Amino acid sequence: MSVQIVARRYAQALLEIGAEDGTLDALVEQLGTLGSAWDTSPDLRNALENPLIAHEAKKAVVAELCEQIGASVTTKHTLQMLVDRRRVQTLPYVASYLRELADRRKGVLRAEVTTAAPLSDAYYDRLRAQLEKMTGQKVVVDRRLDPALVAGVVTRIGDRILDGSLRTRLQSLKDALLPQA
Amino acid sequence: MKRRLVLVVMVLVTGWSLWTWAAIAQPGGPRPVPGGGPGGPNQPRPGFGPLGTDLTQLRGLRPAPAATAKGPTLEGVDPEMEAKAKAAEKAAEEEKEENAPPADINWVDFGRDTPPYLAMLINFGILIAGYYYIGKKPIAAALKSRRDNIAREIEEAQKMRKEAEKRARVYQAKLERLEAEMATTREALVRAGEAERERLVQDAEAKAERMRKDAEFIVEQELKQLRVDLQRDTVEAAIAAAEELLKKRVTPADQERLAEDYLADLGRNQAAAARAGHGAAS
Repeated sequence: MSVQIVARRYAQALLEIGAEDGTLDALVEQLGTLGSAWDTSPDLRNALENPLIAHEAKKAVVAELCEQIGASVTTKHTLQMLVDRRRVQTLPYVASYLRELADRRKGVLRAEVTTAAPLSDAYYDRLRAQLEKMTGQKVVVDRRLDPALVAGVVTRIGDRILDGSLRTRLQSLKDALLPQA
Repeated sequence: MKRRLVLVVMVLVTGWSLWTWAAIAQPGGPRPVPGGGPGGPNQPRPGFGPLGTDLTQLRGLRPAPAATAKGPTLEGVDPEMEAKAKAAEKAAEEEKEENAPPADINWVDFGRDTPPYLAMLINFGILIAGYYYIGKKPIAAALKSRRDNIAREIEEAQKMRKEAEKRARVYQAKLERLEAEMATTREALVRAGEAERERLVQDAEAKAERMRKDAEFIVEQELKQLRVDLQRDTVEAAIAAAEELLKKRVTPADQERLAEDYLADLGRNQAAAARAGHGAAS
């Protein structure tokens, strides 16, 4: 079965549990943290995916990880179940789908705003207001930094990308100057 | 039937000849009697030596009585002398036998040591007649067959000779026509060679033309590609240099200004979209 289909089912189940318990935001936050740790830590992936490492040792790693981030019981059990069923590689997809389902449930659009340098909070507020004005929905802004943009702002909201970076302008200039093949 | 009868007769004649030969070869058989029998000139006489010498006269003794069971002895004679006398007597007998004249031909007497000569002639004639009678037909047939074979071989040889002569005439005619054929062939070869040369020249020219066009096309394409590569390298180098320059010279104020421009662009785009929506609605 596809990893994404499995992740969607887990995310749907977690959404219902979080909604019932009133801990949906915490669940989203904690699973998002764990998903980021999975993406950025090769050691963590190796420890939880390596078949040569004993199952008990993996569960100990999961318990230690949950304790460090102060995860709830639901988050801990979710992670342990993924390890038990050898589905731990679906963790980042579960976190992503859970955030998406939670935002949809709350009627919120999540906008990923990437800048080359940090900007003021006031700017982000004005940007969020402009995005809400554009979409007609409540918007939550996730801030990201990418110096490769050189300067400017890139906003990704849903399937749309609003690119105002200097890197993209230079690329457009380059495409315009290059001869057509 | 006749052939069997002839064979029987031949067997009988051959058997009689063998019997006669066997009788001569027997030790107790009839012996030749040269000189006409016991009283003949070759018959040894008792009391005489090999040279006809009377030993009693030589020795002054009387002749010995007839032989007894102990053999002849000479009383008062030295045994050595007696042995010498016997040896001399034996030598005399052998000399007489060697000097004796040949015996007469036995023509018709069957009782003598040798068979009669006339009987042998008749015997020989019978055998010759038998051989002739028996062997006449097969030998004649074999000779006839051989003659036929030889005639057939001669006929085949003559046929082969005729064929060889015919082939020789054909080759001779070909040789006579060879000059003309060679001239015709030479002319045809020259014409074919000239045509082939023309064709090769045309092919070579066409191929050279194609190669020239291909080379021009390749050169043109290479030039275009080089131009494009050069232009791309130039643009990429210029863009990379501009990016590096911008990274070094962009200030926080520039960042904020660009962010504000971005925000203003979003507002303008939204207003344009709204106007477009209203225009479409009205």
